Amino acid sequence: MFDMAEVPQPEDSLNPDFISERAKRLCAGEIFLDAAGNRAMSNRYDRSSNSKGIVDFGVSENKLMFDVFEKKLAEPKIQTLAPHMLFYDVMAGNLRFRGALAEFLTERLNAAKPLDPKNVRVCNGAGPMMELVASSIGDPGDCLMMPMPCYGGVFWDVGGRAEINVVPVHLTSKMEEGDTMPFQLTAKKIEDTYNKATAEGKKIVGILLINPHNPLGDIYSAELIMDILNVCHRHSLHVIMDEIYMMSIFDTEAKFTSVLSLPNIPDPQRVHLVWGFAKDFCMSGMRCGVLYSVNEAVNKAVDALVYFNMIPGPIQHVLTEIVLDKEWLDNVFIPTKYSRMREARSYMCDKLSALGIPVRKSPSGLYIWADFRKYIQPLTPENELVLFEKFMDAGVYLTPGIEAFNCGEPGFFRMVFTVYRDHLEVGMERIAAVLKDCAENGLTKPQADNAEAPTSADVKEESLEDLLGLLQGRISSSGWLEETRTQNWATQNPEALEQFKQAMKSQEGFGDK
Amino acid sequence: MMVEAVPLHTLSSRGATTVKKHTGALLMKFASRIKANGYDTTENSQGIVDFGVSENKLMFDVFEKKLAEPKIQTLAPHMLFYDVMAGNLRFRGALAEFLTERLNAAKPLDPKNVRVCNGAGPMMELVASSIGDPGDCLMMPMPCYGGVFWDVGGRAEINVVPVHLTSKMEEGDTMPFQLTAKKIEDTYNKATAEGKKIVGILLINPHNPLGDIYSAELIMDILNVCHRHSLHVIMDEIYMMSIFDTEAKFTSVLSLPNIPDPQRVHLVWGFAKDFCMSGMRCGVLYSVNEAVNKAVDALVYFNMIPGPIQHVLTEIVLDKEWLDNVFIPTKYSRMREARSYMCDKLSALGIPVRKSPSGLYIWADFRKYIQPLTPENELVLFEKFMDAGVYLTPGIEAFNCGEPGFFRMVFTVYRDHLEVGMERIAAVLKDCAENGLTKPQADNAEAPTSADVKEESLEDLLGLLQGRISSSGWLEETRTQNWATQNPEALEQFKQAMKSQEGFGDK
Repeated sequence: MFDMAEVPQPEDSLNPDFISERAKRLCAGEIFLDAAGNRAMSNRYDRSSNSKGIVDFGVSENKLMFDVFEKKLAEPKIQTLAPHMLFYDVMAGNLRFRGALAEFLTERLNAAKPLDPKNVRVCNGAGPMMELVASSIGDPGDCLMMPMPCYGGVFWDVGGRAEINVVPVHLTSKMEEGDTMPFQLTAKKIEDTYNKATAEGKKIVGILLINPHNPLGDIYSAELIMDILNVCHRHSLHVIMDEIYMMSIFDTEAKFTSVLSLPNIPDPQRVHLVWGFAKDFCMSGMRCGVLYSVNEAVNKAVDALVYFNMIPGPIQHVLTEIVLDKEWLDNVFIPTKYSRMREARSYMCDKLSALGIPVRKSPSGLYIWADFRKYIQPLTPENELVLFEKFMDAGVYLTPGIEAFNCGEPGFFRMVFTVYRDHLEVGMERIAAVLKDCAENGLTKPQADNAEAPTSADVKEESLEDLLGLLQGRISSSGWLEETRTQNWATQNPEALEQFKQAMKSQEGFGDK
Repeated sequence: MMVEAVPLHTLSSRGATTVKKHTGALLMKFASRIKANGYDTTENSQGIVDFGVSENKLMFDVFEKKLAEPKIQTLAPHMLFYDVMAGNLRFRGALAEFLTERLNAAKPLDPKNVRVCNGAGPMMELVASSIGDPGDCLMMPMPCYGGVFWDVGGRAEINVVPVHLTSKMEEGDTMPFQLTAKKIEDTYNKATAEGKKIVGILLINPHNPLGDIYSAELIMDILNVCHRHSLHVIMDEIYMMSIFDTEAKFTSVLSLPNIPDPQRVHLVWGFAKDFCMSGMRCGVLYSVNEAVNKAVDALVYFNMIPGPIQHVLTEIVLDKEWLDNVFIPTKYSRMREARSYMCDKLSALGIPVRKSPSGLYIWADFRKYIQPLTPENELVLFEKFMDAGVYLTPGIEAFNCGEPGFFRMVFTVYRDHLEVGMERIAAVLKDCAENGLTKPQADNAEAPTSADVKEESLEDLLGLLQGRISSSGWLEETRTQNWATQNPEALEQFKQAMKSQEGFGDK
């Protein structure tokens, strides 16, 4: 069709003639997680067909329940197809689905009063729902606070297109006065951050919280939530409460408090609950996020935009049947899931314990927050990445705290344990091997020929994998990292660094919520 | 403490603007009003017959059978987990194969250039926002698919500049509402002189609402004009497999061997119309422009499609035997039958219908029944139809037609709906012929005032106005203009409601 030989190819595929300014900004966006996740996804470990592939402890999804779903989804009631499922429906979700969700969430969240289906809205993912809400309550350039370390995807969710900035409420491993554990969230830290940022001229419109927490796995107490709501009320701030892991609390003794279960919150018009099927129902590929808000203005704004985010009719039907089957949920799905999660988590924790890696105590989540500081000497952000690369080279993907979760200090990794058993075993073996090597040889490999650092001539943008492979190769086969601090290389090779960063940060495949 | 019903002050400026732009999305509200009060032979015979929303309801039985096949019912783990955001590679490969054949592509489509998202409208937004910045413009021939204004303008803030086509033929035209490359270039020059920044043109071929198919010559002429001005061309071929007249010759832009500026031609298609599944939510993009593709890759995170749906659609497009021997012939046969029925009835009423080989609808000329022929009276006729229980979309409000008198009527509906709907139309037109466009004079009920108008209840508003119009003679006494002058707020709200979009309407 196109006689490509005659058409001059743009030298730079981001040719300014072809795309808008906004598109250029989008393509330059920084998503570490997507590049890393993509790398893992395109070379997945498989015991029989790709045993050299990468074991994925990075992407937060629960892979443990497929067999149970296969059975469930084959039920005739679920397989039913009715005409309305193939035709246009209410954009924010059909009323039967929203009614079923109101019922389901009222029970699972122990809501203080029954949820009204008219206040339930659905769209194709919790991340997209986050964008819809954020763009309704904030203007481009406005800010949402969020405790760090945090779910790394939030920056794209609210910032990628809606241009809402995230202001960190930094939590640290060093306990402050009054703290009882490291990385502890308090209402005071939030208010201090608010005051400081506001004094700097930032316009903060709200706060985004994830409870149960990603990546720490914490569950906030009722008291903490009320303290936070009171601080927010004081400053007329919106609260987006993401409870997407509310049904991933494998420690059945733990007490979870949904924001919707609190009887007397100070500013209900500014509290918006987000949930989704991806994590709790082990179906990240189903694409279904839920919003519950009593704020009619927010709801109308979401109604307007959700045209761009609709969910297929048949999917709404399947999910309706799933959430309505209380008997299956309580007697089959949930207990089986929690039992398998506990087993997998124990396995991983035992292995880490044997390696002397402390793990944050947490009752929930698909992952653990692990402390690798003793193996990272000296303890720097660059060296955290070196360890990350060593793991990747060895065929296991762990997400590093700084790049992936904006942690304020180096040394921490999140590790997803809801993976197939053989992946768990092989992955932990590979981690053990890397750490053994670190303990014996230091963080970097022994000095070899000082291979030349990559130049921009070596860097071809169209082959991301080549690029990463090249750099990986340089890093692991030479001693140049010992001699050349990353900073020096960056100064000497600004173009290559830029291309590498862009390559690492662009998006494809998926990540990590 | 009293909470106001719609606390706009809790929103950002952007949020409040979105709500105002969209409130009342009349077409959408009509669409949801229809769905809330849809005609049903047994359960709701007083309900509204829907000749408005462009969807093909004729093939459910065939799908029910197809989708029950074990191959399609299969569930594999990867379908439940995260996948490539712009669509999994198997699906995109299947689409490349399918579109290469159905579009008679000049060379085989490369799966790497195929992208999918949850709807052709959303895909339109992704492409538009990649090629235009807020405030930039896309040209589009009018009358046009009404949804485009929200698709590219609702959030991406791209403005649509009309290339107005009229029923009055210009020199060189062979039919009314004829598109030519010259009309496009004239519009471009005029708008550019006015300071507008036009980045491209949006075309739908086969056309909605006219049903036209553009010739290969016309398409090349347009591409050459666009190349001259470095304009992007978004070619929406979403009705390419709804060409029930099997003699008609369709030319996909991808079938042309030597187009002048391939980097600026972007094909959009989707499953909604051709596969009679508007609720499935799947739109497709084919572009060789790596920059556009990267930008779409970045944004499609917000528009992903479920894994199981990708699987089902993959199996459907790969089943050539079923497509060629079952689905397509059955669909076209049913479409021709329904269309004939509707056209025969309209012919008996003296309503001219645009000759067209494609689409789920016809473009009908009601001018003889609209006296005097004004935009307001087109709406009066629209309301009379609604009151009588049949929904036809009016040319000006729904398709930005430059003149009054035309309605689009969807015929791909259940047979009994077709029959009842046409009866109701006949009754309304008979009444118009006998009594004029308005009802006989009754008590002159007070015209609605702004105090009556509550923004949060559009349905109340419409019901109120409907009631006034049909139960009183005030329209006879009070020309719509006077009412508009006396009630500018209410009129504005009504108009905005009529013009915005929700649900799904009309594409």
